[in-house]
Amino acid sequence: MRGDNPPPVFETYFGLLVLLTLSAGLAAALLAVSAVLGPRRHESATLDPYECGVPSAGDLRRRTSVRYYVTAVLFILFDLEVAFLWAWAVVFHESPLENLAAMGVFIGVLGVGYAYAWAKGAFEWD
Amino acid sequence: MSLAVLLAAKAVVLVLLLLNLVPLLVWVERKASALIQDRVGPNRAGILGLRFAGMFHNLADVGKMLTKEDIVPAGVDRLPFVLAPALGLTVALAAAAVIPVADVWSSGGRSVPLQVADLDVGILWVFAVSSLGVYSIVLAGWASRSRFPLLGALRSAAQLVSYEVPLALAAISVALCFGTLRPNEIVEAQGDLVFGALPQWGILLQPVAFVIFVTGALAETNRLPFDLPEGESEIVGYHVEYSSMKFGMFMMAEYIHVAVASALAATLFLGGWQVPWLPTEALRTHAGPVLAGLGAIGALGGAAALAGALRLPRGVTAPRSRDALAIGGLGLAGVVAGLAAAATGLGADLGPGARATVAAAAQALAFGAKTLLLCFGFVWVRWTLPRFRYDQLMRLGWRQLTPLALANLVLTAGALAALGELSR
Repeated sequence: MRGDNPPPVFETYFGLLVLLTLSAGLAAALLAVSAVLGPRRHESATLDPYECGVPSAGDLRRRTSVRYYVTAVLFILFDLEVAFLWAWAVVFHESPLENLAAMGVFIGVLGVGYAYAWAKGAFEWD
Repeated sequence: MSLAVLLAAKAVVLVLLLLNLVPLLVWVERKASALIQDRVGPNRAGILGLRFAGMFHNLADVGKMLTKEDIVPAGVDRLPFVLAPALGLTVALAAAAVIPVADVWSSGGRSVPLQVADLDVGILWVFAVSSLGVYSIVLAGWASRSRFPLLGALRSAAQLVSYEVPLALAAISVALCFGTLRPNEIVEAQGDLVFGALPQWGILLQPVAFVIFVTGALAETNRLPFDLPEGESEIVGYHVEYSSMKFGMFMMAEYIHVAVASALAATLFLGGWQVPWLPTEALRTHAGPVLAGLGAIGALGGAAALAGALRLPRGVTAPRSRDALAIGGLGLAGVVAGLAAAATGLGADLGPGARATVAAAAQALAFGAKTLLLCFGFVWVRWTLPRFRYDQLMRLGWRQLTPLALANLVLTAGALAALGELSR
């Protein structure tokens, strides 16, 4: 199958376009229907943010420390790796040994980084 | 023109299928949890005295959510606040586009792939689109301008991001075995036999990857034991500021994600639309007996419904007499239709188009059964296991699943390379 003519664009992607439009339309319709049908009877407290009944104190839009930013950085590294692996998995059988060696180096380097991150305590949560 | 209509029709059917799976899964969840916790479960809501074992509670829920006040709290960022649930639902629905429910229907020179889009990077599409769901969660938490949703969104962003890697690595292991990302080709390859006896399903070739995939899928769909993003019962989740159908849309998105994850797991690991030991060609050649078998299954289902109805209290004044009548009638109709189909299958001579349709029906049934079985697995796990603590969750993801999935992938590649050299 691979290496044949490129697939017909319309046949391949038109369904996706319809599906995306349909899903987005459905979501919009649900929002609209619920906005129209719902009653509007607020008390003053209805519109307050939920904080377990305690009066809210301080500004709610301030900087929040994302404690797990190391996780985010590691995720980007690993997900890039995964992005390469998708393509690699498809062409692997064309020359298995070479591909194994190539990806072995790649994963090896990543593995060293992973071990370093582990040793530095990037995977500790307190 | 007719091609455009056909493609649009497939998209409509897919959306309808997924939308109807939501109430079904909610019903299964409620009844299964009741079964597990030794209680009856919902059984009150009804239409004209018909209750169908609590099935109508879902309709009642939809009506209720649509007619509740649509609260937009003061101070929220309006556009992202409204956009978040819509995005979540859209993305969940779109992810299923590439999953085939049966082999390509073909007859007389026409062939129709039975999925919305037959992409050569199909598996990648599911991952790419369904992982956009994290945006809906983070947007919801941020736009709510409230402390608890913000914290919930941060928790869930870290969780979704952490389990995406092992999930993808597990899927790649399977793709590596079959050398393709096109869902139809992956399923087709799983029809081959190993040792001349067992169908070469992904779960057989990649048992470790299956465990990792299911664990990762539980985490990605925010289901227990990984439901920290939501944490409905004690820690407050990202959608606490949402009411009415906006809240409902988050729930719908969650159940659709469960259905899509199950369908993807069935495609990758349980042979997708493959009927074990019966490849598409065999199903088409023996379309008559296959139709008879399908009819027999339908008749058995009908008979089971009939038997169940007969056990309900009878008499005009009995509390559930209408239920008994309706379920019994449906059961009887099922028996008759099943027997008729069986008779047609055994007696009539089927044309090529009908043969292809019968084969596709059998495969769609097999695929549906596998998917629903996995969906039930999701429900079963939820009502059996307690929730992880946050640090346990992250530790499991980064210290156990990720290295395990990576090792599994490298071992798989090594074994495949060795096999390739040996067979040269």
